[in-house]
Amino acid sequence: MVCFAARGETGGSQGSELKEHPSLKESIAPLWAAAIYELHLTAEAFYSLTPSQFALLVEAHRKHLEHDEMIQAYTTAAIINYSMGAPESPAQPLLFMPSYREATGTEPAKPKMTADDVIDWQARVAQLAAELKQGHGPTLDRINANGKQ
Amino acid sequence: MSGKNSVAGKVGLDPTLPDVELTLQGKTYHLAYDFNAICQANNATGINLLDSILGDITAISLRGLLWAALLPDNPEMTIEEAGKLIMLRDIKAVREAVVTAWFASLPEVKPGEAKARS
Repeated sequence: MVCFAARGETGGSQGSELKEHPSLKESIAPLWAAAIYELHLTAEAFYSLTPSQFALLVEAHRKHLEHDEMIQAYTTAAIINYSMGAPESPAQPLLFMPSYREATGTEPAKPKMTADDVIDWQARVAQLAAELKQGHGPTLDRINANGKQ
Repeated sequence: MSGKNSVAGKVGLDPTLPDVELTLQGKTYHLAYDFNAICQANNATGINLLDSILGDITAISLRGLLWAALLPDNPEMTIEEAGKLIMLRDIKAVREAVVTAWFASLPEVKPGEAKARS
């Protein structure tokens, strides 16, 4: 196959031409793969589509995936938020919808830890480690008391 | 499923297909590029439409591009028959129709997507 840009040219490095101007095979192969694997089209059905129609199908497929993801995300968030170890701030379903976030460019707000929060957290871990070594201490007692409840 | 009044896949009737008409020698043709036409255009002209249609269009490549665009509506047409349709006075109209059909066959690019791709 000859590239459009390379048409009429003699000699030269075809490899570098191909890098700038992909061959039809390089252009069409990922579309064909998506059509067969993701959209479950036959090769014949794929080749009878215009690029515009193909894009419409891909968009419909993306929305279908998002919908499936949304159902699972709401279930996952509900399980987490009503579990025994539920987080203080409820988990948002958007956390479990990567396709939607990718498509819309929306990222859920992540809790930010300040430097003081990090130091406090490290101090509490060190305190717990020391109490575990000694076998007693206020943090360990609190944990034991929670476990007995 | 495709009955007598079906519009599915019929260029000029199917609203998802480009509606580009070209009248040559008294007959109106509907032009569109499906992936089959894109491959046929590549074989006939060496032009990878998925890469670029821009550049010099020679008589041979114009014939190939027209033939490929006619194929969805006229699957039995040969490249020689397509060539016979092109008269010297029609070259500008054919060229414009071919380019219009190509861009009408492409998905609409949303402003945000165009920025992201560039």
